[in-house]
Amino acid sequence: MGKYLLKRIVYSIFSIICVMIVMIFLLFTLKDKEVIFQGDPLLSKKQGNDKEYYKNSKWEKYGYIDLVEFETYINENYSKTLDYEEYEKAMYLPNDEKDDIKNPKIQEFIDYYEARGYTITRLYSQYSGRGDNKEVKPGYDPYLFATKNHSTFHRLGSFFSNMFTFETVNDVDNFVKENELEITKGYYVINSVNEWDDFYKYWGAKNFKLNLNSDLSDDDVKKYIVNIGVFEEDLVEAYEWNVMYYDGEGTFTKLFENNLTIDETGEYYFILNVEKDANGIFNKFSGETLLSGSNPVSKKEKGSLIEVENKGIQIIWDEYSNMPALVGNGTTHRYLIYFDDKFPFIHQNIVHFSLGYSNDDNEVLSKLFDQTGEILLKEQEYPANLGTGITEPTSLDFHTATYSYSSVLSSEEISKFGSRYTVCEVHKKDVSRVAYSFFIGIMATLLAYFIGIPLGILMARKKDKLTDKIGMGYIIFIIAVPSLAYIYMITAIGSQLFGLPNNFADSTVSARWLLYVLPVVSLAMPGIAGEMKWVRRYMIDQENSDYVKFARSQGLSEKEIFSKHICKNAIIPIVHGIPGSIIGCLSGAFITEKVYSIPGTGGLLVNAITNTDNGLILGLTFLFSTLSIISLILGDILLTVVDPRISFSSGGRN
Amino acid sequence: MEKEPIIMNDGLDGLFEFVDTDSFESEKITAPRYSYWKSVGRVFFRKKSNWVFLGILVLILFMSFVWPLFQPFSLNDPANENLLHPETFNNSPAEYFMSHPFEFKYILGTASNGDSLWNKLWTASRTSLSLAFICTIINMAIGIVLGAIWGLSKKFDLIMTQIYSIIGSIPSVLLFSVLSYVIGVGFWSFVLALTVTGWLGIAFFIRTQVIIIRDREYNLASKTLGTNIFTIAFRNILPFMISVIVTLIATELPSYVSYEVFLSYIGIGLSANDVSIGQMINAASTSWMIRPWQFWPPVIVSAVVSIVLYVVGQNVGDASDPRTHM
Repeated sequence: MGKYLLKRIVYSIFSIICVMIVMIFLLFTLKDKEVIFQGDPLLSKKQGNDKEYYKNSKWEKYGYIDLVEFETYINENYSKTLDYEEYEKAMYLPNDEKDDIKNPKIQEFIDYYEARGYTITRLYSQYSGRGDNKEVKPGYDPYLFATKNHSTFHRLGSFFSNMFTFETVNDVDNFVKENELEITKGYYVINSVNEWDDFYKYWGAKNFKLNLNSDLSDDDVKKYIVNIGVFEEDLVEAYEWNVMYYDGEGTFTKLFENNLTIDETGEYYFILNVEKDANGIFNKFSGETLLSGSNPVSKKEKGSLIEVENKGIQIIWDEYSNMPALVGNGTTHRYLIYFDDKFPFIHQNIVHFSLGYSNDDNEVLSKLFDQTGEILLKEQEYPANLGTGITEPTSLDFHTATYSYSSVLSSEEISKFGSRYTVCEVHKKDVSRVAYSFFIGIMATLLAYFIGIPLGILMARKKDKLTDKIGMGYIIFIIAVPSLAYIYMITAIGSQLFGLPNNFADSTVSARWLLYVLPVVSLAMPGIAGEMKWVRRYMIDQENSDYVKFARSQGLSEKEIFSKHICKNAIIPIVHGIPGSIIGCLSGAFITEKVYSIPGTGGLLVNAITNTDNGLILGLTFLFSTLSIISLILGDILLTVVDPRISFSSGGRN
Repeated sequence: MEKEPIIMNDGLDGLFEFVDTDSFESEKITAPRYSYWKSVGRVFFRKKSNWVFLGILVLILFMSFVWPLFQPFSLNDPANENLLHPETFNNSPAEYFMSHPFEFKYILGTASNGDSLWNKLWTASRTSLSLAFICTIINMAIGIVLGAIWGLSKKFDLIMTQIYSIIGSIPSVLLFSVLSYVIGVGFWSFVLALTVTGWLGIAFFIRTQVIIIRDREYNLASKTLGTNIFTIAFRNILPFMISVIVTLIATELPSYVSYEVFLSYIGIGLSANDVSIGQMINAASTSWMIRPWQFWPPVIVSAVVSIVLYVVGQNVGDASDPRTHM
């Protein structure tokens, strides 16, 4: 058995890898990459060189290509070795082709990446006006970048290599070392919403450090930092930005704050200026929501972040759950193992399992398993206030706290949290997508087994009589009528005759459990028909077998023959499907969920496919095909448990 | 050897003559003539309900394939005057006949742009039925031939089983959307998308059936006598499976109608210029409570088509089992 299982598992892994190869080929090679711009409002607003660059940066984000910009190349290779003047020169990217020769680094960049099989794109400016009035047309700034298509195997490799990550006490150090903080002198211009996303990812926190004023001296630069917070919910609408004072030793003071809304034209250009007033105090500032034009990136100086003290792991008494918990310092997550009131009640953050990211930068798994609905405010104690009884209404789930890499945490925040573990997920009102689908699915499955099997047995016993014929009529109805049609029939009957609610999005329904009745019935109907069909078939097959004839000739009663002999044997193939139907509930039911507006998992894959969300498609397909293979193997194992005659080892039973 | 004439002198000379032994005639079977398909027909029509089902099927086929010839329908037809009169849009039959003289084609009311729902329904039904028939024919043909070989050849089995499990794990909706992206949207590309992997499931089913039959004694004997694999597949095994195949066709045909409804529902079905049952159900589904007269006719047609095809197919399947021909 062990050897057989091992062989099965090896075969399964092989076929999953093949599935992924085919999927990647279908998604990235067969479908033109232009397809991701369908329905992208930003693309139509871009023009000229900006448009070209925007497309390539999107392709990089969605995993089609590798993109290296000239500025990135110079920054990575020369920021440490060159002094300020030389660095500025190396960064110089001329508007016109004839000037390219002035900066030898351009040719160096081109040669370097051409040798590595990249395609070089060099875009020159175009002008409007003549002579002194000559101006660069909007959107025609010069660009230089190198691009290369990822190969199928590269994508496959990165999918599997990013699957598991382990937390260690040196996580925070490593992160800080890899992304040393940069303090930029001069303006920092954010060109698009996507750059906000990049910043978000880069800093791994809700705070972005941006700066600053070109008039500031180097010392001042270190002292004043513009901090911009982005609320995740509606990325475009709410930016909060603060000007912070940093004393150089770890304390930040908030000077100004403002909320500003980005204009509706879709141009998210954004420049912040911090100015000194006559007394040398920084209290004037202007925030503007527009501005194209040049992007005066200048020298970047590297600083380093606070060092983590007392690295290590310990077991503490967790006040939030009143259970012990394992916490770490220096790890990405604060809580490594903890208990709470959410399924499956014990959680771990030591091994992180990832199936990639969707286009909106969420983890595929968090799409499935995160709570849905509105934010839930609870009276909670912040970590620093634990035990003091001081509560505040907050939606944060402190168990999910991760280390904030942001250079600018307000002192207020640090004092509330007592540490830099300040980035938390939020509690929401409703359960996760998987929980919705699984609950409805499992109820329907139970109904299918508990109603379908007895009915199937009944049909077999009354073969060719009226009961059997009615049953067959029902089975034919389910097979022949499109599921969409009978789901609407059930909805019509349920809501017209019994007044049952049929819309999950309808918040006026007070008895929430009534909402589940129609979806469960809709899902159970085909399940019941399936069980009836197969149980009847197996029972009738058994009825004609020799051992039944023998039992009958020995004078056993019909009842005894059915209950003790036929049922026992007929039910075996049914058992084989049980793991599959339970695990299958996780993947949801598309039509049922759409008809009743259930926020389940059923629509995820189909919507991802229609939106060309390649990351999500890959992650979900991997998950669902793995689950289906696991359930097949489990079914086989279960078969050997209920029927000792079946053995999968090649030698047979001894 | 020449026969010696026997001379008889009893006055009956010339009345009788001797005949030779006819070896050909002696091999003849004197039982009543048995024709397989005639018997299938006889058994099928013995059941009275089959006449009814067949009648409904013929009626639907007539309405779908002949009616549109007399009452042609196309979307945004310039001949449709109702296009200019928004008050005729989305009318129930009662609403429509209140303000208009009776006209048979508006018996079901009007669609969202004043089209006759009755004519639209049958044109849609023609599209969906053609789709179902064409896809079934292609998939069954490929599936049966490859499935028979798959079941018989062990080497082929190893490769095909792997391919089957891999393609089975790829979401069909994805395959469909990628293919329709690559080859465009339309009736024939829809057919191609449905058939490019559709035969695989049928082939797998046939393969399992073939495996059950292939090791019976008569095939073993045939194999030992040196019959090649193709002859065994197509002469020895496939005739045995006619009832299975007919039953399979009965489930395949309605499944394409259902699948078309499903794909239209998720928005990757036929193009918007094609009129199909799926498109009609999908268009009416959001407002099915307000305008039930637009929703139920296509649902009922697809349900009736599916049920009739299924029942007729099942009964032909039963009748095609020679054991019922007694």
